[in-house]
Amino acid sequence: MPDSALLEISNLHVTFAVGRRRIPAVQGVSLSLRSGGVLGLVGESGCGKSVTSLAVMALLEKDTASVEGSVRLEERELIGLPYKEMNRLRGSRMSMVFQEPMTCLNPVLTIGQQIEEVLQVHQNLTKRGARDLCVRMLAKVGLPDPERVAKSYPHRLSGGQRQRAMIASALCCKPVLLIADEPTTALDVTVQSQVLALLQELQSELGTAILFISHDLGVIAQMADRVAVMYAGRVVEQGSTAELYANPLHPYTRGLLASRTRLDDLGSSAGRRLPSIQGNVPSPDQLPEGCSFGPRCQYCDGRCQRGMPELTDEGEGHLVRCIRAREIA
Amino acid sequence: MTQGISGASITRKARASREVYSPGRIAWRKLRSNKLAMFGMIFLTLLIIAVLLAPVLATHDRDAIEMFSMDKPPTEKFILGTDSIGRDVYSRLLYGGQISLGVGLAAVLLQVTIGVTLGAIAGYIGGAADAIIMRLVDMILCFPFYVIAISMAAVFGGSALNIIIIIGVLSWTGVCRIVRAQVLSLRSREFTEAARALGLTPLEIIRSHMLPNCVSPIVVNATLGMASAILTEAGLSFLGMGVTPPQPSWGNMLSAAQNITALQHYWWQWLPPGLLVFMTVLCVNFLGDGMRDALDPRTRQAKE
Repeated sequence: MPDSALLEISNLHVTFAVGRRRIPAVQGVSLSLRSGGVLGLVGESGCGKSVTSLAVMALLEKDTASVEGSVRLEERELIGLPYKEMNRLRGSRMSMVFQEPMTCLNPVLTIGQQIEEVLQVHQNLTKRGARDLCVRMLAKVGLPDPERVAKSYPHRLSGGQRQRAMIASALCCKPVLLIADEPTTALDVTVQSQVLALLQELQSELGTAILFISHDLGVIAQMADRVAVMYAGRVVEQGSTAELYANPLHPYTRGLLASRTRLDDLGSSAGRRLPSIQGNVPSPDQLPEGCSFGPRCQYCDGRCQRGMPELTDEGEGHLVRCIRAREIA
Repeated sequence: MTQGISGASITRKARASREVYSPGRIAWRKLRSNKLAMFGMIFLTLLIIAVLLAPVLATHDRDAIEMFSMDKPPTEKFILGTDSIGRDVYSRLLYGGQISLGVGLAAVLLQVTIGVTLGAIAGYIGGAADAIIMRLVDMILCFPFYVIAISMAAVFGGSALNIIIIIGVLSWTGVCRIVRAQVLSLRSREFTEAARALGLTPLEIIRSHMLPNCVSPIVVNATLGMASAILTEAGLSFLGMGVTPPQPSWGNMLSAAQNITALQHYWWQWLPPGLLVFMTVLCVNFLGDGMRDALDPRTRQAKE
């Protein structure tokens, strides 16, 4: 399995230098994504999900962020790849969709201009050819009247339409990997489900693997076949979606799952407070001793403060970073 | 659900029937409703056409001297009279306009090219490049403009080309600062990051994502810069540091009429070039102000 992996992140460290302080934002993350698969990356704000994805795309500022470890796409090492070659991969072999469709499109250029430019940069297309492909791509992402959309400026489109246009520009060169960084967070619920359905449809049609980042467990459950849960810059639990949701082992994952709102709960638990995980994600430069989830964990005891637990396999590729996982299960 | 869809398709149709207004079209509509700016634009257009057609419209050769017709008032033969050595003022005005407007335009092109290039470099790369370029800007802004311009003209000699270079080299700082500030703020915008994620190089990002966002301030600055370039050319030529006779420019025509007799008795020698400089600069400024209003997004709601 690991040798057929499309994206192989191993022991990725990202450290930001802020003034004289060094802030470890991602500490030893290892993930693998098979060709055509969908890997969900979950966690609260500030736990390093987006930094991980930006590190994969080599989009972090070089003078403030140092990236160590290994990121391999199609068995090619990306860390340390010269800028030019990296740039050739970005947009063509690997692509990214961001959270805010409102601000990710240039307001003074038409949708068509923005997509055609990507096509012209990566594929030897004439203006005419780029325009045709752009219109076909806009039609493929389900935008009505694609010719008119191509001539429109972003402010003429709704949030959902803009996100569709963003997806079109990310997928127009048929990348093998799409990183979707909370692509539906800024959208309302009905539009969100449409965009998710679109992503699934395109994923199965084009065979693009997706690294899907979200803090919404419901969305992840719908999209991903494997899930990695991140906390404070580390992966704390990883497994197939079905296994992880049915049998969460890490207290943090349990907490996240318990904090979901469920429609069928509302009747019986009316008036009760929603369960939540106490406290906040610690700042990466002020991590507690031992297990970084310790201070928020109801099962935490003396052993947990002795050192960061290792990620251990609890069977069938279900990895968990908790020494008491078996006891509390 | 079906209702929702049919409703959506109706609004879609209604929307499709309306035209898509590009930012340029919205600005043009606003500019058109500004009477002063439109007056300026029409005047300048006519002037440019007239100046370009100088060989056709001129009644005499540019430098042809009519013996025994010096300082003659306007007649049928010399529409605007003759100057102190018997050349046709009207014909020289047309050719002088070529120089004055041409120098203004070329100087502005030069200053915009320098300003945009250095501004974009400073804003995008930052760090040492930014520091060096901005200190250069500060230095140039410290120079008293006319003193330096006159000294440079004195050293390099007066000619249309030298004046273009002098004005261009001394006045790119405004555009540079504007572009740098814009690029700096656009750099942290998400669409720039999205463009990087799509594999565009810095040059492509600057060219096709950032500069279109800076067009309005650049255009406004360039228009107003043109007014001052025309004035500078006229000023330098008036001082004898600019375009050298017999090549005419409005400035050196004024300069030639710089004596009491001419001022008192030969109004046709100084009034027309003076008026043209005045009107041109005024109209360019009208147009520039109008464009600033039209391109300002804060006043984007055009009065219908």
